Amino acid sequence: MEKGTEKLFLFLILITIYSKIFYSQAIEYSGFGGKPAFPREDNPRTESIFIHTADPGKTIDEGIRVINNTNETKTFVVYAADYTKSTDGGFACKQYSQDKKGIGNWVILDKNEVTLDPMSEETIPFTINVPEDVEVGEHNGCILIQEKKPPSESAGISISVRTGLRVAITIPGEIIRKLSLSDILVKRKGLDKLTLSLSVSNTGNVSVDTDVKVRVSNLLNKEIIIFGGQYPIFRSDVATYNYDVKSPTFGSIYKAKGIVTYDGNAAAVIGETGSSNPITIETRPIYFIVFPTLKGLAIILSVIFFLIFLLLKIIIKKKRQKWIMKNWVQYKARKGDDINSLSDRYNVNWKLLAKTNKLRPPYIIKSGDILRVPPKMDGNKNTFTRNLKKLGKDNDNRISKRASDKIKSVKKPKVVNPNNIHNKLESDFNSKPNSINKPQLKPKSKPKPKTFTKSKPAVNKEPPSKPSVDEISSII
Amino acid sequence: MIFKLILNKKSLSLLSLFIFFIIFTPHTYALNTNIRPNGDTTTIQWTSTATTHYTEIDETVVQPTAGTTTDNVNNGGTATNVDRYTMGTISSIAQATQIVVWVYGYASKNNSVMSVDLYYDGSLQNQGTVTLRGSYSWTSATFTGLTLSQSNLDSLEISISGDTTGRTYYVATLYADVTYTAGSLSVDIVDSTGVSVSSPSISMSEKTFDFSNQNSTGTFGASSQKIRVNNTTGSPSWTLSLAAVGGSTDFWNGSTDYDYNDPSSNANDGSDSDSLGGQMSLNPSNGTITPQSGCSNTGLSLGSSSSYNEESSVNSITLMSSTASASTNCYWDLTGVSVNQSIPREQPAGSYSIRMVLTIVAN
Repeated sequence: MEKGTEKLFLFLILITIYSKIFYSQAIEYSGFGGKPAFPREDNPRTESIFIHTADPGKTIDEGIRVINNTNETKTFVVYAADYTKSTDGGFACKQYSQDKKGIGNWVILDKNEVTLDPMSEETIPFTINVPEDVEVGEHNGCILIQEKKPPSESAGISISVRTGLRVAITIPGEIIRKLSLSDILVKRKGLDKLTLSLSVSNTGNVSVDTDVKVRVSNLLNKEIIIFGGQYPIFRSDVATYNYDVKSPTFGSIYKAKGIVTYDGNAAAVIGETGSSNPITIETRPIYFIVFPTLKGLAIILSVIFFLIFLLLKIIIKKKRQKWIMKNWVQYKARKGDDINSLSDRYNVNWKLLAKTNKLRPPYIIKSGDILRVPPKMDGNKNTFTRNLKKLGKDNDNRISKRASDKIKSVKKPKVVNPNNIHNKLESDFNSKPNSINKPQLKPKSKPKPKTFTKSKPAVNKEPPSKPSVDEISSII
Repeated sequence: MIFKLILNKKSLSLLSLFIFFIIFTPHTYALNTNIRPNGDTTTIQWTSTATTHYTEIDETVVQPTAGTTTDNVNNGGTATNVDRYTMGTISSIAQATQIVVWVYGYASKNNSVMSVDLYYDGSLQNQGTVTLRGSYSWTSATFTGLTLSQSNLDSLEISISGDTTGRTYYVATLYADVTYTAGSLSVDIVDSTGVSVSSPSISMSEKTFDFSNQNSTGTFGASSQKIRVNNTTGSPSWTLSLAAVGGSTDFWNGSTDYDYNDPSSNANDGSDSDSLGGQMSLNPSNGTITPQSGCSNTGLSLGSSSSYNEESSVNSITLMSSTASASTNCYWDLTGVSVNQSIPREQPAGSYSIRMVLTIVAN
C-alpha cells in the first residue's frame, strides 16, 4: 500500500472521529415531543394542541409532528387516548392499555410507530372521525408519544415518560359555558403554613379557559398576595386549586377571596380572542389566622415577657412609693446630717433615701430641711412589721408624730453646712471635674455619695462599707 | 504496518467510500427557514437611497433568483463603516445549529472580501466573510456548529463591512438561512449532569415482615434522577402527572400482589374491583422546582398531596402544572416529591414492583 493512501485513510478516520465529537458537543438535547402539523394562523393555541369544531359524522384530517430532540435514534409509539382528569384540575390522558370510548377511539393514525434519528422529526397524518351519535359540547382526548422500550424489571416503581397533545373537538349545538365557585377552604399544614383551597365547578358542556385568582389581604384590606393564573377547566369537572400561604414573621389575621373570570360567550372557541362576554364571580371573603413563624413567636414572647417585667417593675415601684408615702415619717435635718449618716441611722439604702426626698447630686442636706425617713425601728424587723400593722389606718401625720418622737431620742446626725459647700464644690470641680457628681465606688460594696460636713467640708470618700438591704422592698 | 496486512487497495477503497458515506450522510432532518433584516441598529454607516437601510435589502427572494438591484446599500467611503441590522426570528425552536448568510451584491473591484458578522445577546459572536465579484451575484458565509437558543436567535443581528480601499461594495439583498430543530414539550428523568437516565425508578424503603400494616416511603425526583420538563414551544400551558401504566386496575406485582389505589384504612381491601389492599400517596407540594438559569418559576404550581383511589376515580396525580403566565423556552427540574405506600399486614417478604408513567400534556 502506498504511503499516500495510508495518510489519506488516517485523515478520513480522524475527520470521522472529529466530526462525531464536534457533532455531539454542539447539540443541546431536549427530549422528545410533538406538535400539531397544521396550526392555524388565526388561533395560536393550535400550535400546541388540536382544536376543531365538527358536526357529528364529520371526518377531520390532521397531522402530528413527532420530534426527537435527543442524541439517540429512538422508536416511538404514537397513539390516541381518552381524556381523564388529574388531581388539582389537571388534564391527563388515559393509558395505552385502557379502553377507548371517546376521542381515543375517534382518532386513526396512519401509523403507530416511528423511528427517528437524533434531532429529527416526522409528520404522521391522522383522521378524527366524529361519530354520528355524539353529544353536543366539547370532547377531549390526547395523542401521545412514548418511547418504545422493554419494561424495567427492577423492584420499586419503574418510570416511563410520554408526551401528549390535547385534542379538543367541539360538537355544535346548545353550548353552555358556566362556572360556579365554592367557598375557599383553609387547611393547616403545620404551625406556620396553611393552604387555601378554591374549587371551581364547570357546569357547562365545554371547557372554559379561566382566570382564577385568590386575593389575600390584611384587615386593612391591603393586598398581601394574589395567587392564581389561567387554567382550562374541563366540562363537568371540579377543579381544585391549592395555594400555600406562608406565615409572616409575626403572624396576622388575613382575609381571602376567590375571584374567577371567564368568557361566557357560548360561541367562544379555545384560543380565539373575539367577541367576549366576560363574567366575573367571587367567593365570600373568609378570615383566617396565620400563626407567626418560630422566629417571630420567639420575638413576640420575648417582647411579652419584657413588657410583663416592665409592668411588674412599675407596679412594685408604685406600691413602694405608696407605702413610703404612707409609712415614712418626716424628719427635720439637723446640723451635721448627711445622706450617709441618715442612711446608716435609718438602716436604708442611701439611693432610696435620696430618691424619696428628691435629692440630686451632690446630695446636700441643709440643717432644717424636712426629709422623709423610715420610721426608726427597734432593730427587729418583725417588731417593726407588727408596729406597722398596729398603726392600722394611721395617717401620715400620726406616723410622723410618732416617728419624730422617736427621733428625738436618737443621737444627733452630722449636718452638712451649706455655707461650706460652694467652696468645696469649686475646689473639687477644679481638681476632679466628676468627683462631685458621681458617688465614688468602693470595690465590692454599694456606692455611696460624697457628702459634705460643716466641720470637715472635704468630700467624704468613704461610702458606707455595708449598705443595708432595702428593707422596704423586702417587705413588699 | 497493520494496514498492509489487513487491507489491499480494493478494500481500502471500499472503506474510504464507507467513511465518506458516514461523514456526508445527513445526521439530522433539521428544519431550515430564512430570516431577513427587519430593522436598523444604531450602527448604520453605509449609504442608502432610503432613510432606513434594512428596507433596501430585505426583499423576499432566495438564491439563485436575482435580488432587486435598484435599491441597495453601498459603501465606498470610510473603510471602518459598518451596517448592522436586526433580523427576524423563528418561533419555537429547540436550537439553531447553522446559519448561512446569503448576500446578493458586487464590488467595484472583482473578488473583494466583505466581512459578515453575527451578533446576538448584544455582542459579536461569529465572524465570517463573503467574496463579492465585479457584478451582482449570490455569495454566502456559513456559520456551523452553532448552539443558538430561542433567545439567542431572537436577538440575532448581522453586520456587513469591508476595506473600501479602491473599491465600493453594493449589497442588494441579504438573508440568513437558519438550520434548527423544532421545539417541543417534553419530560424526562435526568441525572445531575442533565443526561437522560435510561431506566428511571423510585426506590421505596425496605420493610421486614410485619403482622401489622406498615408504610414504605420513597422520593420521586432525587438529585440523580430529576424530573425535567423542557418546553421549547411557544405555548406555556401544560400539566405533568403520574399514573400507573395499568390504570385503575393496576397493582404492586410480587409473590402476593397488593394494591396501590385502595382507600380502605390500615391497608385493608375495600370495595373496589379487586381483592387487594394498600394505597399510594404522593405529596408534590413538598417538592422543589429549580428553573433553568435565566428562567423563573412564575406561573408554575406544584400539585397538592393526593392518594390514588379507585373508588373516587383518582387514577392520575398532578405533580406540577403551568399557566399562561409561565415561561417558554426553559426547562425546570422537579425534585423531592414524597411517595408513601401503605402495605397490608402480613404481606409476604419479597420483591415488588409497579410500572408508572409520567405524562406531560400540552393543554
